[in-house]
Amino acid sequence: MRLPYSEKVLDHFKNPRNVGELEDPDGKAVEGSPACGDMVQLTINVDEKTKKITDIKFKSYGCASNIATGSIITEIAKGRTIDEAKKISWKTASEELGGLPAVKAHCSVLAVSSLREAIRNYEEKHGIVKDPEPTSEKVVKRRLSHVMNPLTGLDVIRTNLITDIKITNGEKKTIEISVDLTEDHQFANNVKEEIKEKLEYRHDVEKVIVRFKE
Amino acid sequence: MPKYQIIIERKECIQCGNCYGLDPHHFEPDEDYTSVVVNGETNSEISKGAFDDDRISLAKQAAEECPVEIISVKEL
Repeated sequence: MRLPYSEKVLDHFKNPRNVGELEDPDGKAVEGSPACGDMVQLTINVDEKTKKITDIKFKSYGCASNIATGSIITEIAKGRTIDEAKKISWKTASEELGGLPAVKAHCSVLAVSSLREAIRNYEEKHGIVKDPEPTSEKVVKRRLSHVMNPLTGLDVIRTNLITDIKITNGEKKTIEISVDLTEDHQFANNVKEEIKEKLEYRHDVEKVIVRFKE
Repeated sequence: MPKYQIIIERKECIQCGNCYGLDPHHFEPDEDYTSVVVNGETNSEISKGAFDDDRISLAKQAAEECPVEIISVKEL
């Protein structure tokens, strides 16, 4: 089937801008789509005074629509403040790209989510999240539904890779996550890092412990 | 008194997660990642709920950004 991609989408797909990974970034997100298994990693550097995004890079394991959106939103976001960049939506990207097929909207949404999550990661690290939600099991599950299970290409919640979630009470919480992998499994470290990244900078979290099965 | 009502015609939901990623106060995924209104009344076709908080602009942004335009926010 030939998808109706515009010339601009094809240009950004074939020659994506801002591809790569920043070393020691100020904000980072690895987002997986529970709907289709695509993944995007996005890293940003932010000027602490002006709150402008000074550099931005992305990597995608996704389709043409996902790659083109990652490319265009990183172009738009560079030089903008984080508050301005948060307003970039998949519709902004779609308009800039001359339209995206409706069936590919969720792939485009994933690229946009990775930008918003990288900004959130920056805000959490700097304690500037507006209106923060207390970390509950529901919040933990929601965050982890964007971590992919490398064995299946679907997320770790839906595929029951997470076998237990324990959260201590109190102002600063410790979160214990049990994972249905042995510690020496080839993907164990990746899964552990992504789980930690999604949770450890939250305003009310002191420590994240990831446990593997014996 | 509720200030506004959110309705999702969830039969058409494509599970992209934009609404609950952007605005988790009002939207959340069900077990299939289809969007539902938080603490709302939900069946297979529709989910709806009323709110009295001051976060209507976020709900409106979620409605505006929904790729399949199935979210409506009605001021009461």
